[in-house]
Amino acid sequence: MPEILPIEDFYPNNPRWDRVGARKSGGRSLSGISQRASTTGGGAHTATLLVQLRTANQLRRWRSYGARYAENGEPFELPFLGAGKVPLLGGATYEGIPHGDGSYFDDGAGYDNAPLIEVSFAQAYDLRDTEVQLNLDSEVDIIGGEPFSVINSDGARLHFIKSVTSRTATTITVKIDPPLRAAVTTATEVDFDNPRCLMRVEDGWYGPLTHLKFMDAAPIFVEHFDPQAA
Amino acid sequence: MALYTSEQAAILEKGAVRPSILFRMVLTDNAVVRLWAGFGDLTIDTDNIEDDASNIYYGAGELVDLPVFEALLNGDADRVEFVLSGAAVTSEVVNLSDAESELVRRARVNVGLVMFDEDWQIALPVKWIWEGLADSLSPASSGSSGERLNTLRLSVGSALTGRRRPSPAYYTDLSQQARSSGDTFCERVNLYRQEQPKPWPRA
Repeated sequence: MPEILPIEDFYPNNPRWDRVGARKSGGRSLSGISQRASTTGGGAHTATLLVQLRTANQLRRWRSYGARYAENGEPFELPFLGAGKVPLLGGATYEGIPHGDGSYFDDGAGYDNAPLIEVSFAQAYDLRDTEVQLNLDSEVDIIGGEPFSVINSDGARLHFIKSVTSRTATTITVKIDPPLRAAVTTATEVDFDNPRCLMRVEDGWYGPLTHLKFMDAAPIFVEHFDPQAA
Repeated sequence: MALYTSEQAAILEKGAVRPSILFRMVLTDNAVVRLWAGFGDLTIDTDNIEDDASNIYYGAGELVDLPVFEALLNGDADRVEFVLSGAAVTSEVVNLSDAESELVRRARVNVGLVMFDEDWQIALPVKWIWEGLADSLSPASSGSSGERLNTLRLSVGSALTGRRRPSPAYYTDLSQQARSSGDTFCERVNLYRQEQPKPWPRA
């Protein structure tokens, strides 16, 4: 599985997540407006952001990641940043991972690293489905617009909740955008805690080193698709 | 025959139907190259062209340019050129970019139109709008500022046209030689045209 780029360590700012894809236009009409149609089946994610490297260690780590991701072209998972990243939580508590026998530590805490919002697919879905049913605690409120990741075999893919179709105590049926990038099985993991997307670096990894100390860079990321064999 | 049934036409008239392009090529070893103009993987229903139920069309920027298709007019063969990306080396590209490859010659190429609804679900059966027979594939590489541009140009002829020699239909020496080599019957035909200067007296 590709690694997650710890972008928060590099003081990111002004993230801009967008979707690219070819659009067709019918040309400017007599009435002044032009007809448009997107033709790419939901588009691919792109992201630009500003990183502000202020310490020598940040610079070293940035160059180390740059050698792998910018020069070598390896794909990695880029976390989605910004307000509205996680759904509204009504009383959901962090339980952690229990011991093997199901018990917790004396103070009631578990091991770290368990997801706060535990979500999975309620049934199997085909490639490119856009309406899915998820198993979800009633404490989590989904209203639409929430980013989430589907953890596929090749990495995490970013999707957004388009609208909520129906809701029960433990499941929710939602429309998502873009369409599923791969077929999923029942109980395939869905990550609302840390939405992220399999990306690669397009350009702009390095910026000028001001006063030989500080670097402001504006890397551009695009969603990674494996060139597939027949 | 109408292109779409009345139910399908009703879907089209609703608006918000978004078209995209499919490219399907059956190499001579029966391997199939499937590409489409969008992003990610796409599976379509089987029909008279697509016979494999587990088909996957790949969309990762392989398809760079599609030609304009023309109807056959006055028997003029329509040759078109598809442009594929040559940047990522996949087994398909390796197979194809071998210029001597027999895999490409006379490989069947189909171009289809797929219609998506507002939820990016396939709204209508795929319309295969063009069929051709591939001829040759030429890799091209050109420099621009910063990066080199690698492309593969696939030359395809319309399946409606054949490739034959013109028949020797005229009573000219050229045609006569093609019919029966060495025969001198039409040797002087080009002297019989108008305003042919006749030297007199003969040298």
